[in-house]
Amino acid sequence: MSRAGGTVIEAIFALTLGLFVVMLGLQTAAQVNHAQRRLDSRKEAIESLRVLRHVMRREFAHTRAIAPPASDSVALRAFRGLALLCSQTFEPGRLVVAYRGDRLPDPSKDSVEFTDADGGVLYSDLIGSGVSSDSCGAADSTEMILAWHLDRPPVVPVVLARVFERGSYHLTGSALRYRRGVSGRQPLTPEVWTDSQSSWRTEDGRIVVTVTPSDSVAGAAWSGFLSWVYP
Amino acid sequence: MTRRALHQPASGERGAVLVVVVLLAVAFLALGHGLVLSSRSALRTARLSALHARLLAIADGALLGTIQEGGGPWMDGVSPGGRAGGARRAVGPDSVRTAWRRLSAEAWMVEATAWSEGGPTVVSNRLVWVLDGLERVRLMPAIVAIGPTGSVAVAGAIRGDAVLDIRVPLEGSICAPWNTELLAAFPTGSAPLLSAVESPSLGKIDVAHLLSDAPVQVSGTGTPVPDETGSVCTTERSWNWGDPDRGYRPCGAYLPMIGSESDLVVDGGVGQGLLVVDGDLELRSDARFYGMVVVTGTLRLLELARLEGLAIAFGGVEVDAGARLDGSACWAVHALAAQRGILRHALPLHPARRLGSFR
Repeated sequence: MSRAGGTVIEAIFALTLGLFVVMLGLQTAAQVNHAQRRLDSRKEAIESLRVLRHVMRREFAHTRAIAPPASDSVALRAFRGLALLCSQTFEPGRLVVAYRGDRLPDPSKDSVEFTDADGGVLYSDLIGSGVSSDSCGAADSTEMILAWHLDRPPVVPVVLARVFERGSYHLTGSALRYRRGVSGRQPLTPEVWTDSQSSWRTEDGRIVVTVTPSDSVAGAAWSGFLSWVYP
Repeated sequence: MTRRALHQPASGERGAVLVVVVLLAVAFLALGHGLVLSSRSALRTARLSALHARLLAIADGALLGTIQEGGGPWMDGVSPGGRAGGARRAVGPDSVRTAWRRLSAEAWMVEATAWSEGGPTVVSNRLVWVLDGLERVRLMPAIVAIGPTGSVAVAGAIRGDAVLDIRVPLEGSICAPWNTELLAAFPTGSAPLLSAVESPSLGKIDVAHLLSDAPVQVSGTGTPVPDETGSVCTTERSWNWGDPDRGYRPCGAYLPMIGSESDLVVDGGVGQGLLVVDGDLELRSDARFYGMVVVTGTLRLLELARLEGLAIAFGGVEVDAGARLDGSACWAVHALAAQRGILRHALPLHPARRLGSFR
């Protein structure tokens, strides 16, 4: 028997086996990749749902909708921070507060809701806001001392101020989006939902949301409570 | 060419397979490592999200527990702007601490801070209202506050010209903690005799809740008499309403909160404290009561009856000839302050809303 012919057969066999092993490896890698992409999309859907519930329930905890929610949007006064008053005696139009919030107050877009000791509320537009060197007994280390200028300072003693901006949340473009004024709708979540089957609605005195994952995303539709509708 | 030479690869091919295998192994290793890193990153994000949600739940739970528990006598020691903090409490591997911040006389911010060692910190807070006796008296519009349709018939006397006077059996030392504030609230020492109120309540606590809170319940007709056994005041007796005439006795410091869910007649006797009646209240014979009275119906002082303090009589007031109603801010504050442990409810000022802030 010729040794040379045997070597060719061995080589072909080795090549086939090698290709098979490589194919097996690539196929495994592809399967793992596919599984991970599905897991990723599922994770994004769950994460998006968590963000939706967290953001919207937090907003509704502070304010009510300006208008009843449309199927794909809800307009409201979005909460941005709260402040404790450092003193009840203040210069006309100037208020020193201990503030904490998601961001610093912005006079170009924020309004302030004051709460008095009996729970009554007053509103004012914020004209100016800046860091103050005034002392403030009410502040703790996490709060920033700010001096505010207001168009209508409170005429009765107040105990708490909350900063809001006017905005709207949308379930469009497969994601939860926030829009302030006439600016564009900024996505707050990945694009994982089907628009036509995702909506807000009022039901038995409650605001309820339904979101349905798009075809490429694993998982079932979710529907749940967001807030009571206040009269 | 020898046989041995046939089995040897050319020198250029030597190790090529090994190199390819090593490269493939490295590629697979890198791919696997990338996948593991990606998974670990996703896992870490998910863990942080779960931790945040858990801390938020812990903070909210502690907040609600603190609000449900309410305040207490310690609140009088906290000035507006001040705070009282609770101890750190471990909840599994996490920690939580609650604190009360006094924003005004009756407005408080309850805060719960939850944190995990080396992890994020979550704060949940809520604005609440807690009754303060001194503030209630400062806000009383008159000696007797009546409802919009309440009737008034006074043949005896209602006095509002000496609301800060210390008269027997009141002792001056009792009023000492509130002297400055009362003087500021009543700078002339006088108060209007009558004024209208919209509801028979103490701030945000209505009569129904006042009645359900009252530890002493009475009804019908009775005569309050101080009752002590040995050196102990017998507080179990529902018609023992303290001993205002003898402050040094065991019942001298007992100022109960008394409730009656129907008309009540006090036929003689003496008592002190906070009296809440869902119906008419009649003090007759030579009955004497010191403190604060809240009545949904008509307050009647007949014969030689005497009431010293302040009153909310939603249905109106009748004072017979010989009977007297002497306005006393100190008696009213004294009676309300004694109920700090009972009327300690923390009522949310933003109903059904949570003031959350996260950092």
